[in-house]
Amino acid sequence: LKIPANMAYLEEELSRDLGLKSLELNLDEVLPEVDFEELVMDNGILKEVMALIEAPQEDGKLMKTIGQLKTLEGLETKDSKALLGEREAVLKGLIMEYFAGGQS
Amino acid sequence: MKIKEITLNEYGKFNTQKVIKLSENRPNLIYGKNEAGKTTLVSAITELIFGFNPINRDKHPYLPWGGERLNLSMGYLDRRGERFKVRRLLSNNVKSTLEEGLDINNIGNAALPQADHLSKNIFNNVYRISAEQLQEIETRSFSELQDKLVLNYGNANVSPKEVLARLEEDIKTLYNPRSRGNKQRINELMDRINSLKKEKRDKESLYQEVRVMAEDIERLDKDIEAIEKTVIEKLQLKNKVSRYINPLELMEKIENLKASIPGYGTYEALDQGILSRFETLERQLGDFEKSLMEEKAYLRSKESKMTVLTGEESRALELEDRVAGIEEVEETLRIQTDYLKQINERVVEKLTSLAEYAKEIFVNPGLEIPAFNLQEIQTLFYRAREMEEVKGRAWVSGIKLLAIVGLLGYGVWAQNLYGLGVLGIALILVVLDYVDQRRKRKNTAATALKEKLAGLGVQKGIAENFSMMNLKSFESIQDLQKSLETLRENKQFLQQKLTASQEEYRASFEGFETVQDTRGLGVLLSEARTKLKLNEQLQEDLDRRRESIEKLGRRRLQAREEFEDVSRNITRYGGGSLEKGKENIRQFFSVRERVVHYERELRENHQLDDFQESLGGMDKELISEEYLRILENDLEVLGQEKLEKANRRIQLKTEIDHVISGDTLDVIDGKLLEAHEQLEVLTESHDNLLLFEAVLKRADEIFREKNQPDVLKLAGEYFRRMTQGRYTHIMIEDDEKMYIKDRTGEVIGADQELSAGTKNQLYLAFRLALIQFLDQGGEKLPIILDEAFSNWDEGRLEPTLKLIQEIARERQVLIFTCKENNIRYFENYLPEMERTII
Repeated sequence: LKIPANMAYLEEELSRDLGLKSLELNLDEVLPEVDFEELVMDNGILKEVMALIEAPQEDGKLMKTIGQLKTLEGLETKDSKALLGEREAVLKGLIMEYFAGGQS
Repeated sequence: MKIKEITLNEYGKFNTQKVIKLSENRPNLIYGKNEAGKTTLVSAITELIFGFNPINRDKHPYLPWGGERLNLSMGYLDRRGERFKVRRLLSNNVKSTLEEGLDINNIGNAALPQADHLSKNIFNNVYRISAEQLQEIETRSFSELQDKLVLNYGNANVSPKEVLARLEEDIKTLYNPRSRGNKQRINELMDRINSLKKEKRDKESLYQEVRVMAEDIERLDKDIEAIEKTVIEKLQLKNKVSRYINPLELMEKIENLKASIPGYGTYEALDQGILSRFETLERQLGDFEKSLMEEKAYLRSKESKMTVLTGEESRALELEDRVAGIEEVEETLRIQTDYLKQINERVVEKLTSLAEYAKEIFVNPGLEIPAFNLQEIQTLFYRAREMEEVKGRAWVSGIKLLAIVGLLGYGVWAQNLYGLGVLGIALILVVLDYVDQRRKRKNTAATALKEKLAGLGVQKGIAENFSMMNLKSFESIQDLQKSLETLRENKQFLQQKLTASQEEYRASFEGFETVQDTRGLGVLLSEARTKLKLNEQLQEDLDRRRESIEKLGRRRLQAREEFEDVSRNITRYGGGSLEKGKENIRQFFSVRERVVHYERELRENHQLDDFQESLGGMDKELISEEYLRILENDLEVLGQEKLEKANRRIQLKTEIDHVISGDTLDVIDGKLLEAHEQLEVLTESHDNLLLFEAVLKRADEIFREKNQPDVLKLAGEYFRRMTQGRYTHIMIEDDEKMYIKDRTGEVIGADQELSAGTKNQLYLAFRLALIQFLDQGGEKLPIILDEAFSNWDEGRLEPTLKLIQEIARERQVLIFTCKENNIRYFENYLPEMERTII
């Protein structure tokens, strides 16, 4: 639907089927239907992201970075593994939001 | 994984079985014209490896026209050389089987076990290289494709770099510790919380002031209440004093007023309207006198206008009923005169005709025509004429003679009785004829006629030759004489009638001097009638006036009698003086009006009956104007005091309202709570974004460290071979941009001016390296090159196809084309190529 010709064709078909004089489609709120597992499988970076969320203790650099974060809640003082475990669902939601523009 | 054979039983346009055999070690060139089914075959390969998508048969784009299912199978070898066969069927549901030797497993719609390390998306987006993808890179910079190629296998649309940039922006939008403005939502919220806290503190301070003012208001309320109570008591007392003062004053006034009129009681019997009645009667009498004088003058004026009829007018009125009869007589006279005139004219006319006839016939035609007998003359004339006619007919005598001779001959010849009879008749006829002849010869009638006419004095010639015309003249003379006689008789009769009518007509106008006819009589009569009518109308008017005068006289009399009564009555109250009486009465009524008013006020407002009782135990000395003034003064002072306190109360109330305007403490607390909750949510979002950013950055680093060098190294090697050593390396530097190094050691940016062909080679090198990287350690899935080399020049095509041929030894390669021209190049540079035509 990002191709203008496809949009024009769809608008024409819909306006004919619905008996409208003209119709304009707005894709601003249209979100793709995304499967989270498939999204991660198709994206090498996200595989790494999920590996880090599930086992942050295996990456010292990440542990150090989180310990130095200037969070407003004071999260940097918490145990990084527990923190990521606690926020796993939120982080998955952010992955969907930023990488797929939608929810699974 | 290497495909040996694909069988399309029912799939897309292939609704009859189509078997395609492929080589596993050599490049496969699949040629088909447009619409031959190349794209269908690519889709079939993908679905055979990864399963149907969609799994709803009716929505599947390759459901054969008029068909009810999709049915296809594929034979392939895995990397160990084991043979497999997959069959996939999509009708109401999906059914797939995988055969390995004698084992048959149902795998549903799952991907083949040899492809479970990859997703269908990656296979479609990375393993299938199309002309469209190569065209795409010609219009974009390589930096735009870089992450897509290196980090996302060319699969995702969003790069980590873009996500990190967005994350940073979103975090800054939420909070920035160094920002002095309030553009960040958390900063803004924190400012708002501080502002609310300050507002709360100020409000608490104000509330203390309000409490003090409220206590003042409470005291003022009590004071005002006490004043109002006192005011009510004073008012009640004042009302009581006022109530007792008035009746006493009123009673005193009434007594004084009555005393001002001596003999007040004697006036009570007087009618209140006596004076006005007197004046009315006086005025009415004057009006009556005036009206009577006017009416009488009018009467005299009208009487003088009455008209007297003349003698002729009276006579005309007497004849009024006979006018129609006189008019009839007048008409009769006119008709009779006309008729007499007509008779005279006809007599003259007849006499003239008679004289003419006489002149023609008689010798001496005088005034008198001799009398004659017309019948006698006619008889003689017709007889003489008949005799003359008989004498003239000799042939009749001859015939008669022959007839007689014949009869005689027959009588002689017959000699019998009949003959004798006939003879006798003949003899009789002879005798009769003889007598007749004698008479005719004499004609005595003509002679008698002549003698007669001569005796009458008829002209000699006419008498001797008297003709039919002469006879007609005699007849006309006799007719004229008869007519004249009749006319003379009529004239005589009419003359008599006319004389009688004239006499009657003349008699009708006897006594008139000026009137001679009915027309004059009509004019006179009309004048007389008009006069009579006018006199009648005047008389009616006079009668009405006289009646009116009579009524006026009666009313004047009544008024005078009443006037005299009233005058006597008034004079009595003036000690014999009318004017004094009127003055006294006027004064009495004036006083009585005030007395009645005071009495009514007493009666209505003061309940005089209960007056003594209602005084109660009150000291009568207090019922005075002075005490009343003291009370009024007290009330005024109290009112002033109350007003001052009420004003102060309003002032305090206004100050309180002003102080507590805006939000209450509860509202401010509510807003604070809401702002804290929002801050908590935003803070958590901010921290989550920070956390996500940290993890993503670290993952990006790890991925790059882990994979980028291998992919870049292999892509660089492929690129070197494709460009026949012109370019030797591909690098990504610290600025995260891609660079390439040529054989001279010069490094140029991939975004700089590269030809479209070189860009295509670089892109293909990356894709081939990625494919190699993606299935390392697993089954190598086939590469599909779909018209990928359509626009390549020969110089670039040769080294690239040699590379492809080398890759095809370990990974199956399927090259699709619809261009016959390209086949020559493929034959030249891919000598081991297996050709398949669909």
